[in-house]
Amino acid sequence: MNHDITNPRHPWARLTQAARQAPVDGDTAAPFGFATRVAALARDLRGASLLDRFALRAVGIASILAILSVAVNYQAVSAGIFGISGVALEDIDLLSPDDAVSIVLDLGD
Amino acid sequence: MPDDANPPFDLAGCLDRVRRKDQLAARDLVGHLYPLVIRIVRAHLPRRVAEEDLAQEVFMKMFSRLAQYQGAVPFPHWVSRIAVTTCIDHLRAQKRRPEFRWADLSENEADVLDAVMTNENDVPANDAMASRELVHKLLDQLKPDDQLVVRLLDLEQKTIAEIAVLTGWNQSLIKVRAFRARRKLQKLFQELKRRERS
Repeated sequence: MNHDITNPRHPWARLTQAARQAPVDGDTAAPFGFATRVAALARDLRGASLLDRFALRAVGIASILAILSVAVNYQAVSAGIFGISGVALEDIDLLSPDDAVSIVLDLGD
Repeated sequence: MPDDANPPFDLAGCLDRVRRKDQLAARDLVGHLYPLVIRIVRAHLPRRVAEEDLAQEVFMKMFSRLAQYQGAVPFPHWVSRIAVTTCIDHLRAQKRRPEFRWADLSENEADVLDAVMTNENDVPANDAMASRELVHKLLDQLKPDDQLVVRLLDLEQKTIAEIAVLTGWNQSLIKVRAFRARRKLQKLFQELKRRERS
């Protein structure tokens, strides 16, 4: 057996030479409905990518709005974190011990 | 005189219409490119993968990347490259290559292999199909990238430069892969010769 695979008398070279002469199998025309199906799938793919792009944009906008809302309401949020709500602080100012309403409420107790 | 019965396909116009989301143009484009794609797919078809599924995958990639096509190379070349890389991805995904054994060959294939290893005659023309099957079975023993290179070089008789265009690999890498693949094939032939046909 010839040991140089690039030699035309090597078994591999003779096999590939014969293989090249084999008839090309099958029809090369697209099967019925193939082009329509692929075109429809491609259209769906384009639609999905557009939706993905909008969805990503929506996530971005929602994140910005969330950050803005926290920044605007920072005082209330921080008070909430420390256990005293903004409303309670206002109530403390409004209902001081000298207030008439406080006195009436105390009498009620 | 122009052939009115079969006018040439207006690829540039068709691509324009596809970009404008024309479904009919997309269908025409698939129909026009199908012979090119199916020839590549059939030449590099991995085991257990249906050729139509692979062709469909190639076309889906083509449509999804259409915006990236700048016209630097002819459109059919660009699509050929997608087809080749899709095939190579599938070949790489194949985990295990079955061992090449005399027992797995058909009677005709074994006869052809026996003949080429024991004499220096050309393979008779009526054994061309068996030769092709044998070549594919031998190539299955190689790594996917090496398989592709040898297939393109020895079966399709492409030049190193053409393979470089088709695969995107540089020419040195292709030469190294060809060398490695041929060495492996040589070893395989020696092993087959040693084992002999039972």
